[in-house]
Amino acid sequence: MKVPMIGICRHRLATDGQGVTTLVAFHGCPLRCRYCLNAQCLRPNGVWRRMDALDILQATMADSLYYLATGGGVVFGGGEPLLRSGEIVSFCEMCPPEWRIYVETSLNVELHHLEAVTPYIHHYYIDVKDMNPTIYRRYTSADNQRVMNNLRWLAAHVDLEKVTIRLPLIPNYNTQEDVAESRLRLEAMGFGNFDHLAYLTPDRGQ
Amino acid sequence: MLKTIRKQVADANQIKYQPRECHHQVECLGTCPACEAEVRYIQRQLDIRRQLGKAVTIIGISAGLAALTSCSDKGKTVVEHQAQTATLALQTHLLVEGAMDTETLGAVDVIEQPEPPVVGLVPNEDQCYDLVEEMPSFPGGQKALQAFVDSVMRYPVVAQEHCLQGRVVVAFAVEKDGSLTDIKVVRSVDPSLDREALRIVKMMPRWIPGRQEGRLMRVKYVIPITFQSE
Repeated sequence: MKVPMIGICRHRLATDGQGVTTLVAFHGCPLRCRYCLNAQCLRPNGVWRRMDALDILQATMADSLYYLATGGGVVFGGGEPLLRSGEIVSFCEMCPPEWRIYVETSLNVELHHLEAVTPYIHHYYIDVKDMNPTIYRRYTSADNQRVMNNLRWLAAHVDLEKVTIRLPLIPNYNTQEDVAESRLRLEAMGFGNFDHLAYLTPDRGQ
Repeated sequence: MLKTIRKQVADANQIKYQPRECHHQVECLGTCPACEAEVRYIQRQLDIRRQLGKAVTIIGISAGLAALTSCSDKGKTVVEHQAQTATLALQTHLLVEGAMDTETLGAVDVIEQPEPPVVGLVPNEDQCYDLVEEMPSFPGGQKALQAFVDSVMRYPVVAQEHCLQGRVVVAFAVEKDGSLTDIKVVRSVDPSLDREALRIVKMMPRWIPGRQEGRLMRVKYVIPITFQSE
């Protein structure tokens, strides 16, 4: 099935995954983050083109040499890539087995999507926003119960060395204490790799 | 950096290759026609060595370049963040064509750097494209392609005896005249099934070639050929 995409970016170096990678970004997301960097993934006119797994394979095959030589591969992002788990699975079943597959996800999807892709994913980059449900809802306009459930499932089924959790400090939405609290909760679940980062608020000329 | 990777792969396989200085009019991020042609040259040389039964070395050749940095000092659009060890979850999304949304970017600082390449957009008749406006197609479409595959497939006896099945993925280039070249297996199941998949593709009639802005283009293509034992 052809699904909407917002773009493909080749020749990324040491960004989310080792070696040379290609970002394959899907349209569509269950979240409405206040500081969303890719709002076009939500807009009907934000679609770059529609592709199926074979189309994506066509688009990425040219860089196979680089993937093989550097241990790189394909990064699925978006939007929320796991909403397109069927296409990801189809792609992974067709691509050269030496390619590494990465996913950048919020995990705010139904569990069956995560279950479907798990056998194929070499590393997960999970942006949990904040573990506090109230903060999460304020920032994303969504509930994080599915995120929590999926994190627990992941902790029980996946080598957690394959997981990096992103913990952003979000101006006007959470604090360093909130981030520390989120981390504690995640550590209690067994996660150990964290990416701490901070969204920067521009001066806006004031 | 991409040149370095190409050179390392070439050297490891005794392929004569000297990266040429890129004279692309705009800054080249590795996808200009010359760079793409160099990749194809190396891939062809590797294919030849495989066909001759020689071992080729690619896997991890450049893994030592773990601290890979862009071959371009001017890099790409990135979002600055305070934690040096962290990477903003969505920063890479800004690299996607048309991804910049200044309204919603209001809450982050952005360092302006050149856009990365997006596959197959600028027509160049000498290049072999990954994506064009009108992709090549089998005469009669997908159903005709499947019917052709079904009609000519001879399930290898050895594969039947061992109940081997699966999907062999074959890549090739569709030339401007519709002929298929550079045919190779990119996802193997078993040597016997791989050979049969290659045979099937080599038997195919000329395809309808791809077009970009109305002009015939040489386009890469991949198809899966599924073997299912009964």
